[in-house]
Amino acid sequence: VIAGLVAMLIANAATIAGAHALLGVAGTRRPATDLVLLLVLRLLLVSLAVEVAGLLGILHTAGVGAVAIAGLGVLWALGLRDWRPRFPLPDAGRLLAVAVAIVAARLAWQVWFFVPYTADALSYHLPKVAEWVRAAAFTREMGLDSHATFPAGFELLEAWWVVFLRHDVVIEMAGVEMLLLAAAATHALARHVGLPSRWACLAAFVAAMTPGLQLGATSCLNDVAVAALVLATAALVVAGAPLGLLALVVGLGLGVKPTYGYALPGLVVLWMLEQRAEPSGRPALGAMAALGAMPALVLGVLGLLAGGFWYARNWLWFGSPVHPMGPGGILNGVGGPVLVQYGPSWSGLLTNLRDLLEHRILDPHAYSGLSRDVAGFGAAAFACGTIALPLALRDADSRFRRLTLGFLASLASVLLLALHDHWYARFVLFFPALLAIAVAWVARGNRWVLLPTTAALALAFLGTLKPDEISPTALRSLVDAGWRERTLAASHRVVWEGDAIGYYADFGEAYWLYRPDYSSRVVYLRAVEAETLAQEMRAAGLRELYTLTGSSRQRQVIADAERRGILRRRPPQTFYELN
Amino acid sequence: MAIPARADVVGVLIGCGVLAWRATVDPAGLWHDWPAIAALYWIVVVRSASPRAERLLTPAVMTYLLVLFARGHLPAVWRSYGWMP
Repeated sequence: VIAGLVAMLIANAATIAGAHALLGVAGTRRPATDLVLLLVLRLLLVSLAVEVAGLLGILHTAGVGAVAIAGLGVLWALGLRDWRPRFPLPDAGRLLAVAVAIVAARLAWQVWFFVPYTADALSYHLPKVAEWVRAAAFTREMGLDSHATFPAGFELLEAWWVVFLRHDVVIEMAGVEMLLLAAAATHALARHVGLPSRWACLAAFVAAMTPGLQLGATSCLNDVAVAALVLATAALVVAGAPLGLLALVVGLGLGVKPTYGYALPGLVVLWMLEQRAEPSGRPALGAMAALGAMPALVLGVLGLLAGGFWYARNWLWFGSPVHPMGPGGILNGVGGPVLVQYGPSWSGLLTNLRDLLEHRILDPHAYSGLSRDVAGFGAAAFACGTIALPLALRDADSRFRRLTLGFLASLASVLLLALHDHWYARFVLFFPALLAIAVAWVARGNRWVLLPTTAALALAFLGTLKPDEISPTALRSLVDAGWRERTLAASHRVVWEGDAIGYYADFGEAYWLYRPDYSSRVVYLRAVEAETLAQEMRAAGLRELYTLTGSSRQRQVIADAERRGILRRRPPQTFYELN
Repeated sequence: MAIPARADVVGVLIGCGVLAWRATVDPAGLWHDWPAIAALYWIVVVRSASPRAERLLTPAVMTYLLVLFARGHLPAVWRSYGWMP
């Protein structure tokens, strides 16, 4: 553990140093934008390090550490040796700094005690991370969920946080990094529209306290990463960054999740509006384009490579870069309901928008990692932001209006392309950042606004102590458990002995079966009849399988196997043993 | 601060449009309907053009919306935390 911890610290220091070195040649020379760029460059380096290690079959402590240090060596050889931070951190003021410290301490507590718990993370995000870590390489096996082949840019960052310790105790740090990026990008946007540093920091804090982002950060889901990268793209667009840097962040965003692409039309609108704006509004553009052209271009290519990797893999393995998406969308089994919508739906846009404005923005349910049936925007965005936005639009200059138009276009394009289901609102978690900037704008001129804003932030803090998916009893069990054994599997009675188990369901909590230290081998069973199921299990050296009551096809096979005396059930959960 | 006349008219028209929309679709009643409250606030603020009224009315309306929000949200949080059956 100590060696893994040291390697993790060294590798993180190496990527931060490398990001600083790259910033030296590709930076915008605007402190607020450069902070965003620094975090994006760090994400690029981590993504590339894990991708290279995964492809070379050295995805373990020594291998990833070696890739990180080799990367630093390359930067050194290229003459990029200035690794010192070259911009001042934002001045938040004493009171806000205390609030940030409290929230940071709370996040650290959540990272330490929370474990992967959301259905999507357990079913298809994390099983592939577990397979990679166990094999020390990228694997063809990704699990049985229909979403398993989705782009996995965020999983690279999660793999980074588990590979050194070979344990998932701090896996949530990946999301916390993205929350930091969202805050930095909001700060940069607030600075761009003319807010002084302290008020821009307030905007960043209000945005970071968005409940959907707060709980999403520790949920092992990639939606906070998407929101952060949308905001980072907007920050680079308004700073007049060269196209190479925009390609960098677009590549990383598309590599995390296609819903990032859903927001791109609004970012293109913002870019076009900024291009048409008076040159005096963007004084740094010419200098930046001249200074950053070649390095930015190289970084753009690297970003597109890092993110495009998943689409190329799907094209090679499955014949389509967007596999399993087809003209009918992604269905829940043959002839089943649509899980992921294909293309735009105007009626869907109206339904989503009306539902968002009339119901979900009021967050009528407790917050959850998946933002089920809530917007997750929080009280500050709702009560203060919706009132502040028109005031800021009236009083601020054209930069704020352009930003608003871009954000509204992104909101509309995401709602146009997202299926109306229980969870669609988590795809627009970038939008509250605009409302946060508006709140800071209005509060700067009217300090009374700080009173309801503070109350709203307190409400957000209270509402995000724990996600709805984790019951109070389960949380108590997590706190009481030692970190090595910490998991929710026992709370759901998913308990088994041995070091290998079969998984026989189309979806569900497959990740728990690996155990937190990835010591258990999980074999995904694909048999369609009882005999072949038994043969598959024997060939893999398995005595036991785990299934779910909702997997009807598999349950039929198991029922047949039970009738024929091939399998017997082991209570209390749905475990079955070979006879 | 001076508000251009055209913005004044457009602002009021948007506010009235929102009110008309809410009058046709919302069964919950005016005082529970946040878009209607926001529209009314906006019409009053733009029409009054009084910095003092705006200074007090803005945090007041924000607080009202906050209470509206908390009434629906907090019981769900208490239930989730096991502090309420």
